[in-house]
Amino acid sequence: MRDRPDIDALIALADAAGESSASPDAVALARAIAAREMAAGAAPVDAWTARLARLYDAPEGEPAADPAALERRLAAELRAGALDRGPRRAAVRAHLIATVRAKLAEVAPDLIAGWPLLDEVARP
Amino acid sequence: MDGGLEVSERADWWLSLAERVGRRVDAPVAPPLALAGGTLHRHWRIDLPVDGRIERFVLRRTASRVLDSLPRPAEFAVQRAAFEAGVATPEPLACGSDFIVMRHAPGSAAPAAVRAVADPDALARELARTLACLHRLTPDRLALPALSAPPADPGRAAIAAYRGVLDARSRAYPVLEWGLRALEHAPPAPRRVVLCHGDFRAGNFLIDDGRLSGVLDWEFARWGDPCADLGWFCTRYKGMAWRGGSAARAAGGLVGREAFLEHYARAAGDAVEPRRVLYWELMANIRWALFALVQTERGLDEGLLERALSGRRLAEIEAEILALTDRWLGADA
Repeated sequence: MRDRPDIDALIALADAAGESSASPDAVALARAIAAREMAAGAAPVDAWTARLARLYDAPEGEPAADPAALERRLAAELRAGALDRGPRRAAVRAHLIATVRAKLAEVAPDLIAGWPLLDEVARP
Repeated sequence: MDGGLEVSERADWWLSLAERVGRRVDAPVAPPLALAGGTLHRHWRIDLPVDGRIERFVLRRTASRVLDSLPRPAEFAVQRAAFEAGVATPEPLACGSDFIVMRHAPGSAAPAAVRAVADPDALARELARTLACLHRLTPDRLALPALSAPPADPGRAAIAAYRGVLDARSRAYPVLEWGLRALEHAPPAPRRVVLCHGDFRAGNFLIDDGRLSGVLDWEFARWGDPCADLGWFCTRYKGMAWRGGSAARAAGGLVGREAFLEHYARAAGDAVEPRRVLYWELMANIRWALFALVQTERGLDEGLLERALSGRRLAEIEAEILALTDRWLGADA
């Protein structure tokens, strides 16, 4: 769910900022993202994994399929037009909104209010 | 390495310039001055004696390319064509495989220079006129063999190209697929194909005393739908940091979208279909997202934090893609 760079790379790049002449703003942003991600822990990723599993009818409580594989499947279905209409479309839209909201909550929480549709889904 | 030393050690640009201008060009009178800005390129101001008189030039140098950017000779050919057509841009004079030398034009390319103009509407009018001037260049009026052939359907071509970029990534991006699929739903019929700048936004405008001094950075130029430049100019991602998401300055952080489109329509002598601009604005956001992915990979390879952070800012672009997809499908309903 979380985009690259992962938290270890973020911290390493911020720590090496002096060598790479990174701006203080970039360093501050990297550290803030890392801090929010650490505070949130695994909950956003677990919620994303559960949503994906539900989209593909995984029984509650059973080990989830590889979420990256499910995400590839979702992307392929979208491209093929299999989700252009039908009952699953609304669930997919809600999943995408929830995923983006969860990412923004760690990256730039102050920007969430700029997109009213992000408030259509419950917070994780 | 010091920017000046790097330039001084390589004289290819100087020899090329001397050959192109056909006059006597002597060695720089002072060390090259590194100019600010440019995420992919480096720029220097260079003062050279030409036939004994000091003239001022800018050297733009890199071998680096990203996504669908042009190699320097192709960029040079496009900028030259635009200059000769009367588009406000510094006159390009010479090029090599990794550099372009152009005449220096006054002003600042920093986005803050756009933000600081006293009369944003006047600058918006100027930019609209410039874009309309560029968009008069069509494949039947201008031969540009350096560019790919004009696409019969620019929208369909862009979707195919962007899916190709996604297929080269190691993970899937469902939000981008969501947006791309929506663009296949009732797309506007292909219309005029023109020369597009491809990166028409603050940061690529040279602003001098509140006025446009020149359009820079032609590396993303291509044949396409004129609304591709309009949609790109209206994207929220690059502008939101200083317009706070306000629709009042949706067009380039200067004026409202409708006002800019009116300025453009007046200058172009042709109506602008808002729905076509919306289509290309959604496309533009998907393109921004792909830039972010590519920049992240480069940033991680090169150990550059700013570049790598682009990947984490993907969420902002994805939020906009979701919102615009709703608008696009709703607008069609």
